[in-house]
Amino acid sequence: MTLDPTDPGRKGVQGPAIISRRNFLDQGMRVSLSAAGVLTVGLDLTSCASLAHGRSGEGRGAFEPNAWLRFLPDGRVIFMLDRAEMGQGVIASLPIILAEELELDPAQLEVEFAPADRKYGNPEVMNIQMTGGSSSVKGAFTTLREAGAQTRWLFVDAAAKAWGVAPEAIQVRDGMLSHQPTGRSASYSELLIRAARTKPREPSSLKLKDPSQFRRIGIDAPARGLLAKVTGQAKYGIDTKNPNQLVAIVARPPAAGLKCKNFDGAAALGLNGVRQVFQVPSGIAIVGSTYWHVRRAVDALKILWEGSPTLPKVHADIEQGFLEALKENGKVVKEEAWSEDDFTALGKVGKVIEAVYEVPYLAHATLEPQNCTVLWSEFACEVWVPTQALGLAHEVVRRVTGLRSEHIKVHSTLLGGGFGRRLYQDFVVEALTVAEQVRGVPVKLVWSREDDQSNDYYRPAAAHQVRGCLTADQRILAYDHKVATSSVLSDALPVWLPGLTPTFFPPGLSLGLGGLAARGFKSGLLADDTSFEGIPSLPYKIERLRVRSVQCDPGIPVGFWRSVGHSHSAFAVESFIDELAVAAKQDPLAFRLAHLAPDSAYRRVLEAVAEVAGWRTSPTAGIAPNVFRGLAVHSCFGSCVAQVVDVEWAGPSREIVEGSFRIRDVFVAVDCGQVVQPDTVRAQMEGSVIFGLSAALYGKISFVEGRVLQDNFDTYRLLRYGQSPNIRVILLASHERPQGVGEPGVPPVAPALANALFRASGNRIRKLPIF
Amino acid sequence: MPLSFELNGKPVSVEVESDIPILWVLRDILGLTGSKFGCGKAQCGACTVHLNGAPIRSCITPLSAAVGQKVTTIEGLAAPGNVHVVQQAWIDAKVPQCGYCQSGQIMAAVALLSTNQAPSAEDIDAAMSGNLCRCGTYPRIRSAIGIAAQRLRAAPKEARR
Repeated sequence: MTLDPTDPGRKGVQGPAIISRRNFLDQGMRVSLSAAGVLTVGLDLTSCASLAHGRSGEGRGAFEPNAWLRFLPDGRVIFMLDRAEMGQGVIASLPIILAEELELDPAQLEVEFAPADRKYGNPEVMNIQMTGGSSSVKGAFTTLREAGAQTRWLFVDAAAKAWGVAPEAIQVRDGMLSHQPTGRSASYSELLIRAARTKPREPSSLKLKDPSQFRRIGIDAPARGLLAKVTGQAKYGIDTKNPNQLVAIVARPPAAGLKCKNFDGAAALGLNGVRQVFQVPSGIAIVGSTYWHVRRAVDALKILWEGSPTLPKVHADIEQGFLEALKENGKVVKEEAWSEDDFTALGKVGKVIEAVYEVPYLAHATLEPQNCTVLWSEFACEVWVPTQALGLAHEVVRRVTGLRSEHIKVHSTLLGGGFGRRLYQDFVVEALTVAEQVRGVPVKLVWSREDDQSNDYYRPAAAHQVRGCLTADQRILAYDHKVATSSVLSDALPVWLPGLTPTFFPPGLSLGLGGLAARGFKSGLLADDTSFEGIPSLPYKIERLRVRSVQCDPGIPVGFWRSVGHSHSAFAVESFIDELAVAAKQDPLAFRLAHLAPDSAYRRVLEAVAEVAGWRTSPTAGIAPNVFRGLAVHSCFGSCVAQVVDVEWAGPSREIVEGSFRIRDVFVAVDCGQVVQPDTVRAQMEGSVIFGLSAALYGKISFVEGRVLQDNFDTYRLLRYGQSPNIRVILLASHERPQGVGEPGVPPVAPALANALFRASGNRIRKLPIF
Repeated sequence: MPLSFELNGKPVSVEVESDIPILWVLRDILGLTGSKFGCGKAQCGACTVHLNGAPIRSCITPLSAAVGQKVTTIEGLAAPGNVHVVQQAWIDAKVPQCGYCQSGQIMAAVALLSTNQAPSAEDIDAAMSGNLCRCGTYPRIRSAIGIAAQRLRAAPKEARR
C-alpha cells in the first residue's frame, strides 16, 4: 500500500515570528553571463516576498528568500506554485527545477498555489500571471534555478560563519550542509534562524550546475497529487465547498445576443430549493441549494426574449465566407524571391499542384465545465476559480467590485482541463454579477455542458489555399500559401489588457485600449501572428515562397485552443507537402529530408520517428496486412515533433467512412530541449495525440439560427477508450534550453492521419473533420 | 419524508425530492465531491458510481432507484488510509493528468474487474468506452487495467477491501 507523502493541500501552521527576509533586501545584485557561457548569479532579492502581501496571516514568521520558497519554523519548506495545474504536471516539474540547485529532495517541498501578485508574472506572456503557450517550464527554468542557487548560498554563508570556515569548503546535498575537514553538518532547518537573520556576504562566484551534474532534472520523480486524484480527494473549482454556500445557474437566451425583455420568476421561486431569481446581463440567475434544484427551476421561468441573434443563422454561409475570403489578396506576411509571373512561367515547365484545405470551429470541452465561486461581503471579496490566468482573475475582481487588492483573495484551484479556455474571465465576470445580488453568502456558479459548448472562445475556422510547383527533378521550386481565418488576439486583448496595464489605470481605459487593439486585429491592420503561425516557419528549402493572411470574421468569439494557429496550419502545410511528394512519386520521408538542411532539428525528429516506426523497411505500407501509414512534422512553441500514424484499412470500398479503418499505432518523436520530467513529456505527447485525433475525426462546432448545434458529447464527439491507438513516444534528449511541451504534440496528428488515409484509400482529405 | 440508502457501507438518510439524480445528492447534499459532473446526460461517465456493485451514471439515475440499496462512490472503494488494487494500479501506471475524469474511470474499471478478472480487449473497450478523458490518458488506463487484473488474479482477496 503506497501513500503519496507529497500530496499538496496541507495547510500552513502559524509559528513564532522570525525576522523577515525583507530586512535584508539591500543587496542589489545581478545575473551575468560570463564569456564561458556560465550563468553567474548575484543575490537579487528584489522579488523577495514580504509578510505584508495581504495574505490571511497564514505562515507569518516564515523565512522567504524569494517569491517561490518559504521555510517554516516547524521545518517544512513550501514551494509557491505560480502556474495553474491542469494536468501538465507543473506541480511536480517546477519544484524539481528549484530543488536541483537548492540541493534538496523535491519530495521535501510542499506545494501551495501562489496568490495573485505581479511578481509571479509569466515572462513568456508579457509578464501576465497566466499559464499557457507551453511556457511554464521554459519561462521558469533559469529563474527557479537562480532562486535555488541563491537560497543555497544564503545557507552556505550562514553555515560558514557559524562554523568559522570558508564557504567554498561547504558541501550541500539533499538538504544537508557539511564541512568535511571538521565533520560539521547541519540541515537547512537547523540553520534557518541564522540564515534569516544574517546579512549574506556577496559570493565570489555562484554558478548554476552544469547539466551533466543534474540529479533531479531529467529524471522521473514520483508524480504529485496522484493519490488525491485516484481517491476522489482532489478538489477542482467545481468542488469548492463553504459553509452556507449556495449554487447558481444562469438561464440563457435561446441564441446568443438576445436580451431578456421581461420575466416572471414567481413559479420558479415557489419551487423547493430555490432562494433567489433575478436578472443578470447574461440571462436570468437562479440561486438555490443544489445544482439540480436550480437547474430544474429553469423550466418554471417565463422569459420574454428580444433582439436578434449575434451568431450566424446558417452554417453553410459561414464556411462559404471563409472560401470567399480566400479570393481577397490579403496581407503578405512572408515573401522570398516571389513573383507571380515567375510562378506562371514555372507552371508551364514544372508541375503545379493546388489545394484548398478547410477546418472547422472547435470547442475546448474541458471536462470540468466552467464555474466560479464568489463570496462578496461588505468589505471584501473571496473567489475560488479554476483559472489559467490568476493575475487576470484578480484584476477582474478588482475592477468589478471596486475593492482594493488587499481586500480581495482569489484562490486558484486545480483545473479539470484547460487547453486555453480558462485564460478567459467571462465566467468570473458572470459569477460576480450573480454574487453582487447574493452578498455575504458564498455562491457557486456552475455551467452546464450545454452552457459550456455554447459559450466558448472557439478555435477559429480557417480556409487555406496552397499552390506549389515541382521541378522536373522533383524539387519544390515555389510555394504560395494563403490562409483565411479569424484573429484570436482580437478577442483576447480586451481580456488581457487589465493584466498588462498599471493597476492605477481606470478600468474604462484598459477596456478602451483593448477594444481599439481588437479592431486593429480584426481589420488586418495589425497582423495577428496566430492567424498564420506555422506557415512562414516551414523548414523546407523552397526557392520562391509567399505567405499571405486574410482576416475573416463572421462574429463568432474565438480564442486560444491548444496549439492555436498551428492546430490548423500544420494540417494544410503537411498535407500539401504530402500531396507534392505524391506528385513527385517520392517516399514522403525522403521527399521531406531532401528539402531539409543537414543540421535541421526537423531532420532529427523525422529520422527518430522513422526508426521507431520502422519506416524505412515499411514506408507508407507493409508493416502489417492492410496497414497504411502517414507522416508529418511540425515545430511550434520551440519544440519539433514528428509523427507516424498507422491505420488498418477495412474498406470495403475506397470511401472513408466510420468503420472503414482503425487507428492502430501512433509514433511520436519530440525534441523539446532539456527535459525536466520525461514521463510528463510522454504523457503530454500521448494526450496531445488523442486530443488531435478527436479534432481530426469528429471535432466541429456549427451554428444554426444563432445557436451552437453540438452542445453535448453526443453531438460533439471525442475519441473514446475503444478507439484510442497505441502511442509510442521517443524523446530526443538534449541540454538545450527547455521548450514547450503541452501543445506541440497536437499539430502533426491531423495531417499524419490524413496522409495515412490517402495511402489506404486513394482519397485525399482536405476538409476536417473526417466524419 | 427521509429517503434512506447505504452509502459506502454506512446508512444515510436525506430529505429531498426522490427524482433528484444521485450525483447531486452526493455532491451538493452529502458533500462527497469525488463523483464529478461533466455532461448531465450520461455521455461522459465522470459521474460513475456503483449501485449494488454495478456501474451507473449517477447524473441521470434518480435517488428513488437507490432507496434501500447500496451505493458505492470513489470515496468508498477502500477503507480510509488504504487504496483499492485498481487505485494503486492507476498510481503505478501514472494515469491521471488533470484527473477530473478519473473517479469515473476507476469506478468503471473496478466494476469490470469485480466480475471479470481476465477481461479481453473487447470486454475492456465495452466497459470503458462510456468514460471520456479529455486529457487523453486512455493508453495508460489500458496499462493500469492490465496491471490491476494481473494483481487481482494473483491475490483475489485484495479486491475485497
